[in-house]
Parts: sequence; C-alpha cells; structure tokens
Amino acid sequence: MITLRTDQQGVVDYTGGYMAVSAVPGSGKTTTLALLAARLIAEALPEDGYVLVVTYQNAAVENFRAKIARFLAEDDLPQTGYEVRTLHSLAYQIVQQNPGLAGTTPGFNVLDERQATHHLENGVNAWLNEHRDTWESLRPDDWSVEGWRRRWNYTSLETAKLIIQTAKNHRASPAGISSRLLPTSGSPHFGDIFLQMALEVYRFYQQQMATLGELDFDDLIRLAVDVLVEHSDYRDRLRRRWPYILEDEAQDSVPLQQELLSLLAGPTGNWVRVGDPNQAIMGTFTAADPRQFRDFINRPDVEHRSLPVSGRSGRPIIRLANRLVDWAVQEHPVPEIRERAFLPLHIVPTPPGDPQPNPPDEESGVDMPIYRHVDIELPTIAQRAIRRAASHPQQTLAILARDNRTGQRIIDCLRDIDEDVAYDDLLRGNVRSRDVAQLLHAVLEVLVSPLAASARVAAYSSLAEEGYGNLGTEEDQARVAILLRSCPAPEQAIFPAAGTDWRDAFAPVPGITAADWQAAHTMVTLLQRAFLARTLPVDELVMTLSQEIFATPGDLATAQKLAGYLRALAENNPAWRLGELNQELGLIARGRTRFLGPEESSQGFTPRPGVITVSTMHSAKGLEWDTVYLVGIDDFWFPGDLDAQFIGTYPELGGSPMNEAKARLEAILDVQKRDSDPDPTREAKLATIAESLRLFYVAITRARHNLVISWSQTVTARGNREASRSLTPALRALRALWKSHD
Amino acid sequence: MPRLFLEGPPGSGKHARLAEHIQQLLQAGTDAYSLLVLVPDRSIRDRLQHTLSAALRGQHRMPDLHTYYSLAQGMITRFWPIIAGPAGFTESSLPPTFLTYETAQHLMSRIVTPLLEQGYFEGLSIRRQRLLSQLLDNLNKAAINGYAHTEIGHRLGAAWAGDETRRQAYLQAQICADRFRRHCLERNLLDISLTIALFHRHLVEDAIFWQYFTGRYRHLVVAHLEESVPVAQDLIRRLIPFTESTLLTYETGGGYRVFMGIDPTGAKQLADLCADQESLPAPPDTNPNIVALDLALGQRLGQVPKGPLPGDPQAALDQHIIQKRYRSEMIEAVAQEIGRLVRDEGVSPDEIAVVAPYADGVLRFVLRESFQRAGVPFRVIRRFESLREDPVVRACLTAAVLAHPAWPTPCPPPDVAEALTLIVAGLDFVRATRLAGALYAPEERHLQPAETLSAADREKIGADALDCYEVLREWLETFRSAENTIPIDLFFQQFYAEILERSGFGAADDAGYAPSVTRLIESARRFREVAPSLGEQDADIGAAYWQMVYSGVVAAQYLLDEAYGTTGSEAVTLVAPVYTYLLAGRRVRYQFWLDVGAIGWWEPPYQPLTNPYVLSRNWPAGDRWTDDFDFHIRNETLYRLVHGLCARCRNALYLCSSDLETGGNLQDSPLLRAALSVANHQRIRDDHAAH
Repeated sequence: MITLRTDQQGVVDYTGGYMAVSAVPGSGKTTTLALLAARLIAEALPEDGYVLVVTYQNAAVENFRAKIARFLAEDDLPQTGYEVRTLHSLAYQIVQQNPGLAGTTPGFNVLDERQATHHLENGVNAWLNEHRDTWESLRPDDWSVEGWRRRWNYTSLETAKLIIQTAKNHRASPAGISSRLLPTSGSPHFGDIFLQMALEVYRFYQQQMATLGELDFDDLIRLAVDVLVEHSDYRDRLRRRWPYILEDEAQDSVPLQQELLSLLAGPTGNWVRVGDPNQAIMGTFTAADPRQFRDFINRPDVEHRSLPVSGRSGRPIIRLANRLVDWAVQEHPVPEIRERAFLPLHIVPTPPGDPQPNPPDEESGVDMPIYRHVDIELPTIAQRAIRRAASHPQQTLAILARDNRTGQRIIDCLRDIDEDVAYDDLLRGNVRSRDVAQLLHAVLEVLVSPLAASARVAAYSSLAEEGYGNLGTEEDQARVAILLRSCPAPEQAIFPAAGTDWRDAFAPVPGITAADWQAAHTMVTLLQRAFLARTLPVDELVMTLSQEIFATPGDLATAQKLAGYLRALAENNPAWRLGELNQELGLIARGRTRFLGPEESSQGFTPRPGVITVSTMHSAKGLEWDTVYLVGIDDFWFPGDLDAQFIGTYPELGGSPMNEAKARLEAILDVQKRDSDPDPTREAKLATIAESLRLFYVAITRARHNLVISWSQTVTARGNREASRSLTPALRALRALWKSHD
Repeated sequence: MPRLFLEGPPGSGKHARLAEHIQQLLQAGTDAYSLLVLVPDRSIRDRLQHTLSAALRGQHRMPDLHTYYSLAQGMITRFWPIIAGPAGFTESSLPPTFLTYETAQHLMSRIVTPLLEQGYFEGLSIRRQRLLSQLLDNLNKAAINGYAHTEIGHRLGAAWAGDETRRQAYLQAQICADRFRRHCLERNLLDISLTIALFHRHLVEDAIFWQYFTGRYRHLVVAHLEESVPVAQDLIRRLIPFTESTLLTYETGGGYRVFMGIDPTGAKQLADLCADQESLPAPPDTNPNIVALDLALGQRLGQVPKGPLPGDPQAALDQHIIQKRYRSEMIEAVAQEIGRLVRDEGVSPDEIAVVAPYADGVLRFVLRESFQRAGVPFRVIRRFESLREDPVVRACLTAAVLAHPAWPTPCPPPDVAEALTLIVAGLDFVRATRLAGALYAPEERHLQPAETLSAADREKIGADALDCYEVLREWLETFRSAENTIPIDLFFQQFYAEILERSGFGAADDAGYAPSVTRLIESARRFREVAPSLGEQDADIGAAYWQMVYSGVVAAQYLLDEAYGTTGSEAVTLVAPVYTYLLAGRRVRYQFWLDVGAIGWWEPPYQPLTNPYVLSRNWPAGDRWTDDFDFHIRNETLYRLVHGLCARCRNALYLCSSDLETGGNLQDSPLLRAALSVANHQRIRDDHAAH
C-alpha cells in the first residue's frame, strides 16, 4: 500500500467540481492522479461512466494506465471504468465516432508535421512565384536576390505556420478571415504582406488536405470543439460517458484544447487539472499560453491545491531552481517579466521519513564553468560526461542543449573522444520515429531492388540492430552480412526452385556457423513474406510488414502514420511506384524534419545507466537523470532584456513579421488580449524571455544528484561567424547563489 | 387467390419454400414468362438461381429473376420509345446508354472538378472518390425513395443541426446533382438513379406499360422482402392485386442494409395485402446459449428489454473471447484456434465463418499465410473497393499498355515485373525483376526475345518461366504488329483466353483469376459503350479506361469477389463486411467475429454530404438529426447484425479483438463493451458464488 504525503492525500480526497493542482517537478503527481482515478472508480463512478485521464504525451499514457491498473488490482476491482488518452487521441475519438458531423468520413488521415510542412512548402513556393514583384521590390540594396528569396521563403513558412495555427485555434476558416479583412491604406507594413501571404497559403493548404481526406493536429482539436459546440446532444452523451476528467500537464494545454475539455466537463462537471505553470515551455511550438493555466487556478469556482514537496533533486539543485523563480519574480530587469515568467511557487524538500527522500547533500552538487569558446566548452563537457559515465556506470546522465545543432556538435565531440561511446540521441524530437522509418525503408528497398546485395545487407543490418528475430550477435552479424552479400542468385535463396536448397544460392563463405545459416534463413523468410505482400497497396504493405517487425504501440502508431503518408503520396502522384515512395520514406529516415507532432517526442524513452543521453532541453521534459550537463546557457538563447538579439526578429523585415502578422490576425478576429504589449514585436520578445526562463527551470530540475551549467564567451554562429556572448542575468543570479554556498 | 406472407428466422426454411413454390407453379403449368421473381441483390439472385437450376433440372424454363434495378433497366429498354420524350430526354429518338457505378463516377468527376476549383465543399475533408460516391448516393437515395432529385439539398439542409457552412455544402451538392441529371438527360445516359426514377415515376405510371406489365406477370415471388427499397415495395403493393398468386418471404430481424436505403419496416406492412400469413419456427438445432448471448448483448445495447434469458450467455462465450494487445496477435490466435478446430475436432472448414467489418490487406495476408502453413483451405469474400487494388487487374492493364505502344500511359519496369509475376505461374518477383531488367525496354515499351538473355540469367530464371515469357512476348508482338484495334474489353477477353488460361500461366491453376478478369471485362465493356457519350474518341478509349481505373474509382458496393452462398466451397471463409455474410444464407457451426472493438461494427450513418435516414421518404419533414437518434440507430443497426449472426451460428462463436488496431490506436466500440460487460458480469457473479 502506498503512503501518501499530506498534500497528495488532499488531492486524492477530491469529491467533485473543478480543481487545479500546481505540482512542482518530482512531486509525484502521476501517482497521485492515478490513485485519485482508482478511488473515483471504486467509490463515485456512475454505471456506464468512465474516468477520463488526459495527458499531452504518449509516453505518459502507458505509465498512467499501468498505475491505475495496479491500484485497481490492489483493491480487487475489475480492470474497467477508466480511459487514458492523449488529448489528440481524445479529439480523434470524438471526431471518429461521428465524422459526418465534423465534415469528414471514417478513415480520415491525420497529418504529421512533415506531411503538413510539405503542403505548406508547396503553398509558400506558389505564393513566392506568383508575387515575385511584391517581395523583390522590397529588397534592400545590400541583399542579393537569392539571399532575399531565402529570407522570404523561411519567414513565409514560419509565418504561415503561425497564422494557420492561430486561425485554427480561433476556429477561423480562410474564407471567414478573408471576408473580414479590410484593405490597408498607404504602403503596407511587412506584417500586412505576410498576413496576406499566410492567408493564401492557408487556403491552399486546406484545399490540399481536403481533397485527400486529411486533417492536421490542429484541425482534429478544432473539429472536435466544433462538433461539441454545435451538437449539444452529442456533447451531453459524452459528458455522461466521462463524468470525471483528470488532466495532466495542464500547463501545456492550448486555449482550444482547454475549451475542448471545458466543453466535455460542462459548467457543473468534475474536472481536475494538474500542472506546473512554471514548466510551461510549449509556446514555441504550439499556441500554448502559460497564463491560461494560471488564470484557471485563480478562478473563483476552482479549488486550488499544491503539491510543493519533491524528493527528486538534491537540496543544492532545489535551491538553484527556487532562486531562479525568486530572482525572476522579484528582480528581473524587465518589470513585465516579474509577473509573467513564474508563479512564485517553491519546491519544498521532503520531510524526514518520507518514502522518497531527496538525495543526501553529500551526494549532490552543482558546478558552473565558463569557457572562452564553445569549441572548448563542448569537448570539455563531452569529456566530463564520458568520464562520469565510466566512473558511475550505474547512474544515468544527460547533456542538454538549447538547440539541435548544438546537440549534434556534442555528439560529434563524444565520438571524437571515443568512437564507441554509448549515447542515446533524442535530438530532433523523436529518434524512434526515424528508426522506424529507417527500418521500413531498408526492408522496402529490397522490394524495390530485389537483386541489389547492398539493399539486402542494409535491411539485414537494420533488422539485426533492431533485435528482430534471432539475427545473431554483433560479431556474427559481420559474417552473416558477408554471406548475404555473397548471393549471386537471391531468387534462389528467397524462392528456391523445386527440389533445390535455398543455401545453394550462396557462394561459399569461410567460417559460417549453423547459427549464421539460421540467421540468414530468418532473413530470407521475412523477405519472402515481404515479396508476397508486395502486391498490396503501399499502406497495407507497410502495415503488414510492421505487424511482423514492430511490437510496441508507439512503433505501430509511427508505422501507421508513415503508411498513411505514403498512401497520400501515392494518391497524389499516380505515376509513383514503390521506388519513388520509398525514396520519400528515406528522407524521413534521414530525419531532416521532425516527423511526428510534439506530443510524441521522447515517447517511451527511459534513460539507460552509463549511457549518455544527448537531448534538447525541450525534449528532456518529463525525464530525469542523476547527472545533467546544461550547455550554452548564454544571453542569445536566454535573453535578459529587450535589446538582446531575438530569433525571428529581422530589422530588414521591420521587426518580427510573423508576430506582426499574428497581431493583425488577432485584431481581425477580435481576440481579447489581456496583459499583452500593444507592440507585437515587443510582446513576442517578452514572451520569449519568459519562456526561456521556464525552459531553464525545466532543464535545472531534470537533475537528481549533479548539475553542471556552462556557457562560452565566444561561439561559432551560422555561416562560421565568430560571435561573442554574454552572461545572461539569470545565470548571473544563480552563480551568485552558487558561489555563496561554495 | 393465394397470397402468402411467409416470415421466419434464418435457417427456418424460407429459401427452400420459395424454391418449392416456384417449382410447383411451373409443374402446374404456369408459364415461366408470367412469373416475376424479385430479389434484393445479385448474390441472392445467384443463390436462388443455383437452387432452382438444381430443382428444375432443365425440365422447365427458368423464370425471370430480377433485382428491382435489373427489372427497371429491362423495362426501360423495352419501352424507351414511349417514355423517353415525356421523361425529358433531349435525344429521345436515340437509344439509352446505361451507366455503371464506375462510369457514373467518371461523369460526376467531370462535373464536380470545375466546381471544386471554384471553392465548392470548402471546409469538408473528404477524399475525391468518397465525395463522388456521396453525391451519387444522394441521387440514388432520392430515386429509391421515389421523390424528385431536386429535393436532396433541402432535405439534408433541413435536418442539419450545425452551422451554416454545411447548409451551403448541401446546396452545392444539389447543384452537382442537378447538373449531373441534366447532362444525363441531354445525352440519354441512365445512371442507377435515373433508371429507377424513370421506371418508378414515368413508366409505372404509363397506362400502356402497366397493362403490359400486369398482363404479363401473373405470379409474384419476392425473396428477402425485408431487404427491399421503398420504390420496390410500391411496385409490389401495386402489382399484388393484379396477380393470381403472390409469395412474399421476410426474414425476422433482417434488414441489414439500411445504409443503402432499404426499408424493412415498410416491407413488413406489405403483409397486410396477403390473406395468408405464416410464421416459421426457429430451426431445431438452435443453440439456447447463443440465443441467451444474443439477448444479453441486446440488453446491453438497449435493444432488448431486461429479463430472464433462455440459456447461459457465458457458456456461449466460455473460452471464446480472444482479446489480445496487438491485432497481429489476435489474427494469429484466430488462425491457431481455427486450425485446432479443423485438425483436432474434425470440424469441416466450410462450417467456420470469419466475419469482420473490413477485410484489409493485413488481415487477408496474415490469415492466408497462417492457414497455408496449417494446411487449412481458406478463401476471402469481401466487398472490393477499387479495381486498381486488384493485382490481376493491374497485370492485365499492363499487358494492355504493352500491346498498345501508342497509348500515352506510363509503364515503368516495376509494373512489368509485377505483371510478369501474375501472368506467368510460379514466377516470383525477384526473378521477374531480373527478367524485366534484362529484357524490357521502357522507352519503346517493348519486350525483347528471351534468347538475348545470358546463360547465367537463363539459369537463374528457369526454363519454364522463360518459355511462358516467350509465349507472352510473341502474343504481344503479334498483337502490336497487327495494329489491332479491337475494343479494350475484347482485348482483355482475348488475353485471358489465349494467355492467362493456358497451362503454365496464372489463371490455369488459380480460380481467383476468373472473377477478377470477368469484373475487368465487364467494367471495360461498360466503359467502352458509354465512352463516346462522355466525349471520348474511339481510339483513346483504352487509354482513357486505364486512366479511370488508376484514378481509383470506387466499385459498386454490391459487387463482391464471389457469392458466398452459391458454391459449396470446402474452405474457411473470411467475409466482409458483416452484412455480406448475413445475406448469404449460410448457417455454420462456428463463427469468429473479428475486430469487435472496431468502429466498423458501429458505422456512423451521417456522412458529410449524405445520410440514408434523412433522405428516406419516412423522415419527418423539418426534423433535425439528433445525437440521441444517431446513437439509437447505430445501436439498433449493430444489434441487427449481432442478432443476425447469432441466428446463423449453431455451436459457438468467438469474439475477437485487440486493444490496439493496426495503426496502434485504441479500439473501442459498444459491441466490445457489451461483450466485456457480459463476460465481466458473469465473472463477478462467479466470484460471488465462489465466496
């Protein structure tokens, strides 16, 4: 039986109504929420009702389900009465149960980021080609045509993404916005031009998806909300089905997602929202507004509770995290940030006798080195991590970077030091989805080029690495690969003629063991099945192979998305055959673009002892390690004031055109903005400063025992320019604290 | 005048009684010409034909077995001169051209494409083919309910409870329907809807016709009346008083294809016109535990009043819930259990039916493989969605492209390799790739003689395959050099007869080819007949047909790979969708219900642009479509399937599901919940008893 802390017991004793729980990192909120679910199922649930648990990350779903199942089993209750869903899977369910109401048909395809970007790129390119005069006439003299087009291309794409996301979050269609668009007088601002562009791309994008029966993630939420708003009887039925809603990570909810849950809960319903406003870091990727959950907490009809006690980190680390909050709330040089960045909530270490105590002080420490150049910082940190992994093989450790590019450089440094270093690459969000794409790509390539030995060997290596079947140890694999390569007649191996032996197809290779033959046979059998399935439509082919190769829901979900993507490509390009389609799959496998939506990032990832995780700070959310290295904590990524350099702000385009365009759109849509700066570029800068502080907070609180925070005075920026960096004020404040304890 | 309304559950002997009745009429000297036998669809027609042929043994002429559509089509052809003008056809002196479902889509596509570019249907996310089929469905629903197609938009709009945008879409759907109909009237094109409307609204109202019709058909026999559409019921109602005898058979609890516009309630009312009404009892081998399970599920779906059960539902479910985490595990478990039944318990494979809402490629492939390994004969009967999906069809199309070098259609080497694997028996894709790589010249779309192959390649590919390749190549060469311009359907016919059926080629030892090629020939023939009216030039028809198939046209819903009921196949049969099994008239010892957690068991009737209930003539004007009604209707339809299946199962049924569907999404359906609830309820009861 689990022992609860007092604050946790307070949450589990919930009886009904709206409740908000602000929970600090490591406060045991999943366990608390799962216990609450089990209690409600046992004591309060009406017949035919289900407790609905909503999360924002796939990884959390299984975790919740397992915990609830365990608590129910402990109480000898049947395994029923609850549903755990991500918000997207909830919206999917609402639309899928009644697709006609949402304007689509059963079997609609949900686009992922890559597919969506593909449509957007086409739209932006078409616009740039059609409006050459517009953008060329605005080119400053010191810009080349090529460079200027690139700048427009990139900015247009980012702006279109933001505008479409904003429009969808306000449930506004392209036609609906256009009908309210007023002509601008005088020479238009960049914001006006980019808004016009984005609206045209929006229309194009929706048309592309509509004819293919596709929806993107935002559509899914928008349609679910539309259906619930317009069809109150359906909404009422769902309310009866889910009389209790428990929401995790509520700080990541975007306004439309909050509206969806609010509609499902109803004004007199039962809705428990657990989150940490101080960990709201999704504003960069989604329309999440950190103020939203804070506003909810403050509503008079909401009971507010806190889970401030956490046993995760050592006290020195907790002190740093709390100091960051205090400094931002009381001393930040930009007064608006004091209000916006954090809720003044401290992490409280566990009291004596707690079942999950903080690491002892003597096993916990902080270091904050400064380097002259990033070329010194990254190899040094890499070296420290490798040493740490060697000396503490039972502990977990991670190097967290602010961006993928720096993360990639860290991996390069690790490999320069030790070619065989063990590391997990969580960069670009989802390493696993790339693995899945890569594996499928490798197997499909054999179907594309059945006679190519290289394709056969590559498929074998990918499958062996994946642990498929029994394809041999690493040492065996080299021999089996040679065997598979030495096969001048693959048809004889895969489809042996009557009366012959499949092994006759291979040229003699010295040292081949019986186990090697077995591995080759496993491979050949898989390929035979794959060839037999080859006549299926591409999506069914991919799913048939996937059922054979993959065994986790996450992998199957990824495979399904890939299958859907390939089917859409095939429908869009009737002349394409498996070869062309597989080339596209190869592009995903090489991972230049994130394939899945944000909710899937780091799905199912568990840090491995002695293996260095390399990740961005964003992807590290929800994870923890014994030792964490934070690199590149400087004033570029963590700007201290409004004069700093901001990503997405370009003087040559009049500031931040995407935010200018967004502000214009919000004005058209009559969006009421509270506590926002009237200058859109300034507002965007304030939001960036506040979110970067919360990201820093999230990064700090990933560490259990040891935390190392470093930065460099000089970096090599894009285009191999040397750029100097300054100490960001937040880090200065933490250094002062650290030194005072040192 | 004997007028009998014969009702009974599945297996009660209606089909046999109906056949007997026809036989008796004929033996009593009734002219087959005066006998009208109406059936709801082609599969039931084929089954009845099969039974009658066996019973009549050539001693009597076979009477006309008609679906309502085929009757309408035949009568229109006969009476065209007298109704074409009054019905509004512009070229009434020229003969009519009947469109198939495929060619109707082709025409609708031409009408809709420019409108889509104008922004029609903005806000809806529907694949092109689905959009076309929904627009055609609207026309068909108006026709089978007997009202003017001009009412579609208004009816849909009046029932819509959501925002204004959708009403706009309904008006746009109306415009599409109007334009389509106008185009048909201007060119004497008759799609299904116009055929039915013309028959029901014009021909049947024509005095000359009616005199002929009632004079001719003196005896009426209707099979599966519960599956009939409203206009068919109107015709039956009108005809009965003129007949010397009438037999209507009605399956209790039937009426599975409401989504296609049939009206079981209206059908039942026809009983009032029959002096005699007889109810047949359930067959003696009915299993009380399965009846109990049927009722228990019905109670949980809110369709059956709570009350005592005639048996133990748990006994019917005992050990028979196959629930796995992954779908592949479920499929594997099903294959193993069926293998066990056949091997260890000596169950005949044709006494086992596997039903699923949708037989996707993954399911078909994995089951086929598992059964092959276990040596269990297996076949699939499913609604096929598009010709393009069928590899045999693709192979024939590739052969057509190779035979017609002037067509502007692509033919990349992988297409040729795939075609070779299908055309040459036993040739695998790896050998076919080697063959195509060495001997196919894509630029000229030409196959080179096998003799140019290296000795090594010859050995790898094998002499038998090469011999067949040469036969094929020479055949194509002859065809090309003759600059033959036979119609495309005849090309397929010739290709099948002269190549595919020969020894060593695909169709020689695989019975699966014949239905595919038959379907292709039929589809191509109908296209060729209609193509000039669609503006295609003679010389381009073959290439245009290729284009149409590759655009993914959806095949008519009633077309199946083969009829389940007609042949006595000794195989385990996978049937999809479920109603296909229910209409096939087969009771078996064991049923496996697959994917019971899939939404396909609980399909939503409300489609973005169509709705069979709202477009039914019984829909009260001005009523809105509500969720309560939607929920009720879906549960009712689901229970109809459940009840129909239970009534066709003698020994035991297996409910099979996986937590996750193929794509990793959680499965959840009222059927799964009801089944688990029955099982859980029992478990809890057992637990209490144990304590």
